[in-house]
Amino acid sequence: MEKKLTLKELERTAWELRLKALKMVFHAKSGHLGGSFSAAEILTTLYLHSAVLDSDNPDWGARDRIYISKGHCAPIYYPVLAKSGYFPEDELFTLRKMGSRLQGHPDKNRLPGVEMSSGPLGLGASVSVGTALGLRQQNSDSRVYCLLGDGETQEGVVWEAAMTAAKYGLGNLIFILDYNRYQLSGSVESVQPIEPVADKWKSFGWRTVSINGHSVREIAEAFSIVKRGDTVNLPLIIIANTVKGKGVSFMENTSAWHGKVPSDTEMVLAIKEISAHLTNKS
Amino acid sequence: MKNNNPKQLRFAYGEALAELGESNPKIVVVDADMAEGTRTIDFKRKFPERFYDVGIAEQNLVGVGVGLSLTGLIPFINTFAWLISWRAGDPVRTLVAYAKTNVKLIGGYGGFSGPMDGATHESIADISVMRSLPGLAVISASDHEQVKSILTVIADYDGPVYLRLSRAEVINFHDSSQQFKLGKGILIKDGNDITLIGTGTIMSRVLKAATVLQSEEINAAVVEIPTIKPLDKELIITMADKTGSVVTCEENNIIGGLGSAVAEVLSENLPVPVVRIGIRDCFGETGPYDKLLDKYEMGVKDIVEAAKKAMRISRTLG
Repeated sequence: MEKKLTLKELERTAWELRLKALKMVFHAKSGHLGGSFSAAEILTTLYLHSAVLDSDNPDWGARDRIYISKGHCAPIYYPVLAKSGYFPEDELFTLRKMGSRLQGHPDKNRLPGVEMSSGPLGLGASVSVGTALGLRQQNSDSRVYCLLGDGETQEGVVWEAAMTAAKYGLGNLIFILDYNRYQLSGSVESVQPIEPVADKWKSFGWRTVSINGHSVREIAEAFSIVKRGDTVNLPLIIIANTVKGKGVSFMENTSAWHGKVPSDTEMVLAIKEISAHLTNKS
Repeated sequence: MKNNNPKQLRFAYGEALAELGESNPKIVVVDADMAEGTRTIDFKRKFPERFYDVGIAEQNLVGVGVGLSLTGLIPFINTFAWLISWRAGDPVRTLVAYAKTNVKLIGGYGGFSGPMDGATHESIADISVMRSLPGLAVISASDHEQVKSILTVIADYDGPVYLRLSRAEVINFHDSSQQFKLGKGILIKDGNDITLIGTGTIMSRVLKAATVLQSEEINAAVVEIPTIKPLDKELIITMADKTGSVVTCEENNIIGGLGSAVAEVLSENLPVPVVRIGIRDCFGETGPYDKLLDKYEMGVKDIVEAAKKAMRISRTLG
């Protein structure tokens, strides 16, 4: 069983892992930083505080299940998994190298801790619904979490899954929407608006809670809404308002850094900015 | 004892699945508003708590099934063969084949077997599509006894499977002692002059063609290949070596299906003439099932002609 980090530790850890992700992508010369930085606090809090997991026994039957449907946030997902103890941290710099267990998008058959291979958007929503059904059928208390991108909810299959979750009253299912408002080719608003987000999910039969997705306190509180073994029969979506590229000023609130690699000069600046946050948190 | 009452293959599937549900409590069924058609209705009636209907949403159908499998259950995922191959194509590729999940994809109404609905509802190349996915076993069932046997085997097999079924009425030519083996072909009838290789419900026509050929003193071997992938290469090579020419028969596009698979194996190992019977890279139309098969060159006489053609080419090649 993992040691739960305190909120203060979580805050600092999220910044440490952000720095790690930056260095990994710089080293690999490829990868998605914008949507990784927006999810840093969410994943850190989920893995190192809120979910019940055992990295020494990744297949432990009573664990909570976490699906990363927005698989392109691998640069932050992998450091979170390593920090949780699923594999050695020194493997992180093999990201996107040929033969590496750290594929461009997560592969469940290569890397321990990865519950499901992902990348093609929207599919994690359906998988998490199926898992929530299967766990409930087998009287498990485990919860199922699924991290979705905002642009990802333009995929029709997300809404198919949303309907099924409501139909079966899956109170053990928690979606987290990383609402960073940018996707590959522009703002979500300009590419294909998804608002009104909360109203859409409510009308699909979901409970919604809207939080600051960079506040570990708010994230932890939102995760505490669904307890293991809850008998509530409504699925929950946590709408986490985040900033794409969070932590590096020139990467923030733009689609330009969705999948771009920093130059040497940009890298110096980026390290400086993230490190400043680390100094503040120490 | 063979039970030779003609019955649609899907009914045999529905009954067998409900029966298997009794002995294997891990089996769950997912359907997309097609339970009456796919005949998972039998399972649903018996085990309502193990039956999930996601409505008309085939991507979600596959995703939900995969999610169920990740909890240790064994999902049978059902819809039309063409919907599971195309509409759910990416979930099948990513979540089933790439992720190597233990799910059983069941494609109903294979080939022209839902013919009155027309070309949009005919599955002309699901075998081709599914065969192109690494790690996915591809099976096509021919009769009731075989369906029963296939279900038992694939439920025990730990890995992804695509099973093509049919709405066509068939009679049994297997008996209950002939157990299906994954990846193994069946030598139904030995012969020296030509090998007819078929898969699925068209086997009844293949057998008739062999009889016609016999009446013309052509002794055809008949091989059934229920598992198109992994293919029983050994049996195919052995029989091609013995007879010197081959005809393949399937209710699927001649591009990418059994015919292609057999031609690939033989061209790399033992090049002999291979003439393919199947849907000739075209869409179908509305019409009575048997007449459609005849019109689209999958008739008994087409198989007989193909056999003669293959033998002729073989002789020319010397």
